[in-house]
Amino acid sequence: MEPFCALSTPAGVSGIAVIRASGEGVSLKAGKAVKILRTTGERTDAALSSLGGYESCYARFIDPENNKTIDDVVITVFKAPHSYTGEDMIEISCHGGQAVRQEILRVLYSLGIRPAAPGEFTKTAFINGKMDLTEAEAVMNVISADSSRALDASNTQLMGKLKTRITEAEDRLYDALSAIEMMIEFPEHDDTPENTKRIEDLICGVKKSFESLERSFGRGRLLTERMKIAILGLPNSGKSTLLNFLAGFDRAIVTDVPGTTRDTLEFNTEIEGIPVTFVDTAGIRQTDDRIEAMGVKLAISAASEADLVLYLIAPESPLQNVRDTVSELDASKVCVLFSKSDEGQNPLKGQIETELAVQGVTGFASVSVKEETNTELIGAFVKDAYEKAGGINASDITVLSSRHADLLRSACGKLDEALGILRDGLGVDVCSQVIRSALDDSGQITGRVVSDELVENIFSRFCIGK
Amino acid sequence: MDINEALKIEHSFEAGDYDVAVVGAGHAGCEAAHACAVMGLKTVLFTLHLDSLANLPCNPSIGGTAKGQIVREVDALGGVMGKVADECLIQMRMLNRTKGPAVHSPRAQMDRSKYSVAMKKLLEDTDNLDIRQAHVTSLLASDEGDGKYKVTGVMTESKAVYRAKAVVICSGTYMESRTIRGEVIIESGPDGLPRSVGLSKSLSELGIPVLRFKTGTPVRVNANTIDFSQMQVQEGETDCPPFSFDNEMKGKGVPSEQTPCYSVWTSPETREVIFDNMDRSPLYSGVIKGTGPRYCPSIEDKFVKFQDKTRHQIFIEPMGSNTREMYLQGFSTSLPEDVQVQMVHSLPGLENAVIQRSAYAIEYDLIEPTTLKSSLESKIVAGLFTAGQINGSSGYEEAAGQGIVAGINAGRFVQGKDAIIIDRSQGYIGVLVDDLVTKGTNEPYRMMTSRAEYRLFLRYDNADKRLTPIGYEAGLISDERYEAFKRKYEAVASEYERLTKTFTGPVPELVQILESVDQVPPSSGVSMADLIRRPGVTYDMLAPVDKDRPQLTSDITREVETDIKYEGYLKLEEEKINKFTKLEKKVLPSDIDYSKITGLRLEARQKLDKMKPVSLGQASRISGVSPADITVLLVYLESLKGGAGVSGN
Repeated sequence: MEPFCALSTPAGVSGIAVIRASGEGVSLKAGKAVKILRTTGERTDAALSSLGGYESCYARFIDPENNKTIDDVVITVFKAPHSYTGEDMIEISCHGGQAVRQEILRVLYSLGIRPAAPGEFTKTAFINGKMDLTEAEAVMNVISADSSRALDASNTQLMGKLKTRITEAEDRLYDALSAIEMMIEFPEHDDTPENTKRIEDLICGVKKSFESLERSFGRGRLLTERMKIAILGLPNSGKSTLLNFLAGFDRAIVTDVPGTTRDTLEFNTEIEGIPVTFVDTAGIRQTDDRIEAMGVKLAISAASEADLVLYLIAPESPLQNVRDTVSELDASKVCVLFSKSDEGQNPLKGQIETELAVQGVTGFASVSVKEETNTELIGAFVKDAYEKAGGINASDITVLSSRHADLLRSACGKLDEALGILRDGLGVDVCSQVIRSALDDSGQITGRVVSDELVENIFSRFCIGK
Repeated sequence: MDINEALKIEHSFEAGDYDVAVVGAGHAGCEAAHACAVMGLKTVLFTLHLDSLANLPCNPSIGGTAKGQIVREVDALGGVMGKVADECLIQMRMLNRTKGPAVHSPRAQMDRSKYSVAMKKLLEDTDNLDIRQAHVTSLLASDEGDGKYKVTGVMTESKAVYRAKAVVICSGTYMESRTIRGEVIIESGPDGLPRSVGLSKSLSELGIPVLRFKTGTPVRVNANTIDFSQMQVQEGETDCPPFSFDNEMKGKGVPSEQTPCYSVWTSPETREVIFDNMDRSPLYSGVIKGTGPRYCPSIEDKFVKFQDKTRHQIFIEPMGSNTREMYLQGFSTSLPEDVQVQMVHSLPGLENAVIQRSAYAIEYDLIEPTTLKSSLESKIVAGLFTAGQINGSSGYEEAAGQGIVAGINAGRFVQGKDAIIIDRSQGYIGVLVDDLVTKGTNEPYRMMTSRAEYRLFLRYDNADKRLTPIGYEAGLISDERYEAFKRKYEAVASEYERLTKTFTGPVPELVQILESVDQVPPSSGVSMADLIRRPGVTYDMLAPVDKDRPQLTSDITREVETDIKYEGYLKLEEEKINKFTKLEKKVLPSDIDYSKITGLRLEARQKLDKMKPVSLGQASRISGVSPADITVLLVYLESLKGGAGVSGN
């Protein structure tokens, strides 16, 4: 089997995390990102692929693109058939941070170890006869339990709506496919050349639907992962003060010297019962200090990845800076806090509000952390943003959704390919085949296609990595 | 009835002792009988009428989309349809040329009477094969208990009893058939030939479920009474490859002189005539009870079901070179003869046409194909094989494809060897057989390329590669041909290799070639293979920059070109095939008691028990068996493997 990998420990914050990969040549592939420091056999310059079964090593996991270290890890090697799946496997124990986990997975993907399908480890174990009856019965229990949960999920309104939308898009795709098949099966009754144009239009339309759905799944992520909130503003606009207030302790160094925060600082808390991660950023301004300049860059990128940006405008902040900053961000995610309201009001407040409202900013508040004036509005902003991002009806369905998003992304890629084939005139036979495999992808969400991916389908009721 | 009972009947007599008896000499029967005989088995082929052997009672053509691929597959296995078709074709075209090599499908117009004569001669010249005009009325079988039987022979209308170790029934549309034209119903086979009476009853007495289908054929008119000047002409193509590998190797192409076909559109008057007489249509009055094919509807059906289309295209095809008879494709009807005359005269150019044969619908008996194994042997009667329309299919090519499978496996049954199964990834024949025996059909089943999951792989040009080794294993391919086959594929492989290793720089000739297809010239050296991968670039086009290329025949270069151009897609398809094969290889033992596997849903238990699928793959394609049921079976299989010997409880 071609190698695949997944996080095996629960998503969320933990001390360490374990990433598993299974398949032929997995040590060789992953080895490109592993610099072994020491093995259980006390070797120091071994290659990962030279390790035997049950041998472990302490190693540096790097990004082979730029040789940057991602994390120090411990890797255990398993050799077929003596592993969970019955294939060659490795288990990477890394630190528990989400960024680290994601980076390691990203690198593994880039090395040709694809993301595991749900339940694929167990399925592979099964196929390779690694399970006896007792275990198999246990598996059956999991399957039945999980399918009833899946049933619950599919009954929820959200899932129902998504399914309906995907099914509608699929119908259009079937329409395109039928048009192609008609051309092929009944060539004597050749239709007009407009046919190809119509097929192209249909595919384009479906691709757009899938894309927008995939983005909506991205928002659904909030149901299982923390909402990320960036705190942004000019140096000394009170960012760290706000952070400390929210954290309830001195997390950032707060001084009156502008530019004290040079790195981004993060901490997790709950606001209105919503799990959030606050990211404090370096102040945004032109600077000659190289380290601080890097911090500023980091701040903008942290802010653009956040689900909500709390943008602090101090009484003395100039309008031009505000304009420049907001123009680099998704304005709909920005809430403006006129900070330090105890020290007076920004004379341009009215003008700023008008201009930013045009750009799409909807939340404005004057706050003073020192006097705790209007700080409760921050909670309201967070709640609004959370709901806007689709974070309602938290339930199991979002566990499925990352799989769905992957499938939709894969389907979109295939539809792109199909369009390319039509443009290049490579032949509708291939085009049809590619559309079918896109339908195989979406069909795994709607359950419409029982294809050759059958066993995959069955085991898709497991969680990834089990 | 068993052989001893048959011999007790008054005037009955022992007429022969054969390894295999094939009943019906249509396209399925001819292939089956030929295969058995070549395998060295003593074979007899029965036909109701020797002059109608391998008859083309409907369309005088062989091939078409998916069907053309099947003809080549039959040939690759060592069958005869392709050879005879090459000999008798009067026009050939390659359909779907612009739609990609996977769907290139050859289609040829046949000289109908020549085809029948040529096939008869070929079979007469085949060793181990006796051909006998006789009306088989009973299948003879011994009772093996438990509702199961074993074939012992057949008996004819004249009470001749033939012993046979295996019987292949290819009854076409003849069993208990009746033709229908409006109010006139005649108990007859197609083309006015005698029908088969009694055989279907003897099958049903053995517990084989019998169904009834309907099909139909259009009128034939005299070409001398047609004004072709009003019609669109469709000429043949001389650059088509022949159907048969043998002819390809001999460099025998298709004839340069070909007979044209024509096409016209129905007129508003056609529609009027049909609607005015709809009350006389047996389809709508309820006289016809058999299920007809959706893909080949009668003209009245087309007008009723596609009301938005005010006209339909009709093709006018020659029936041969020694006749003036023309076939009106797309104009099949069961309306009465007097209405048929008005309908024909409503077509432009056919105002004065003289009808030589009327159109008719025909109803016939068939068996439930889900009672068959993938070898086409009955699950109920050991040694009984069926092929063609009796299994619910339609079409000469579909019949031939099943005929050769049934023939090979009847032969192997007698030889005591394991059946040869062609799976869905190996050929259209595999798709066809698997669909019929696994899913069944509720209308005459026509092969379509879209029924195949691995269409890119199931191409016309690589049929030999896919199936000739199987034909060789079965004993249908001579050593000489097998050597030629191997030489061809060595040439394909070495030319492929050479193209990946032959480089050219951006020389002016190349720039010119690439510009002609809107491609940007490469900045440095590039292999021929990489150039072929570019859209619009062909193997032939690159000759000026590939000066050292060997002289190769077009069948070889075509295949190399496709392999290169489609490499990425073929690889993906191969991965899919590997996954598919894994499930196909998970064998379900025939003695599984599904009723005891409590994890299965009730419907699945019943279906599985009835169908007794041979593999998990086949089980997964049975309607009513869900993915969850397959999981249960997976677990069950694993438990068997572990040697625990548990029941499903």
